[in-house]
Amino acid sequence: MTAASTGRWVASGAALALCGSLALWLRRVDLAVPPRFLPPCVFHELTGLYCPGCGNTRAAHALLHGDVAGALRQNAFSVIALPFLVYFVWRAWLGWVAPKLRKPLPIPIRQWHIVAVVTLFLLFFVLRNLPFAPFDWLAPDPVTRETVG
Amino acid sequence: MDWYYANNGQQAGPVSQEQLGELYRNGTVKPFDLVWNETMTEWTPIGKVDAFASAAPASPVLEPAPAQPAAAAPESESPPVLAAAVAPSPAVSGQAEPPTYLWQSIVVMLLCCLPLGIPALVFSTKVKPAYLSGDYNAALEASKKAKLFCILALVIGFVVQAIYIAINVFVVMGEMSK
Repeated sequence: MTAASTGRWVASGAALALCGSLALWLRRVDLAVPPRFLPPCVFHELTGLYCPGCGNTRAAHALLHGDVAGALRQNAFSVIALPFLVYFVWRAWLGWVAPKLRKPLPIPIRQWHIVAVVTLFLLFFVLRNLPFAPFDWLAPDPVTRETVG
Repeated sequence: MDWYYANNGQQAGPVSQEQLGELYRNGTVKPFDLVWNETMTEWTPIGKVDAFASAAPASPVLEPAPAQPAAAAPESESPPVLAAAVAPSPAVSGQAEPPTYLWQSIVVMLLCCLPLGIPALVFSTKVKPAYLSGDYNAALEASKKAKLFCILALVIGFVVQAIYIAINVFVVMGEMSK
């Protein structure tokens, strides 16, 4: 193992430890009385609109308590995208620490895949701001202070 | 085994090894067209894939295998068939597709760095069409811009959030000191 690859494994371990501690901390937070240190969504503060990421903190909080339905209620797009994102991050990480272990994607990504993902993403952004059923289910549930991200 | 190949600016397949060998033999797939199957790490010109060596059409095309034969070879040495084989193919450059940064752009936008995440997303969608149309430089340019906007969005987003948190910390400290 070279010095560079050792450094990468150390950095990976440190990043994992940091994410783990943040997750443990977030899990213990009571969102009914959210600490002021939880970052609000600046976009929501400024515009009053929900950005595609609004509700992520609440969704993560719900997931950390094993509540998938509650997480979907806060940000359906992020929760559905999460397994795919984890897979892509995993691949990117493999390419970084052990490129030889990384195989190409089982299916080559085609143009329409990209168009579909981007369309769904922008559609989610628009629809979650419509203030009537069923679309208001895509907006975060203000169970708590509205501005928690 | 399923093979994929690049043909006239589009990815095609899956086809069997026999089918692809036949396409190669009859000239539909040119020696510098990229092919791939799931055991390979990168898209590779079919002329360099051992499995298809026996299916190679009889031509001198396989002998030189520089990265950019049309540009690199002097006119006099370049056989006409080589130029013809290279020109219409999406794999013209023989270079691997630049990264699209699509999922990175989406992650950045989901992390609330919205205004700069949008150009990142737009540029990331332009990489593949440019590459498939054979314009490698445009694809590389779009890829670099997508990366730049991803990084900018992430950095500025974190700075703005940090300022918000700092303000809140001061407010809390002010309340506690009363």
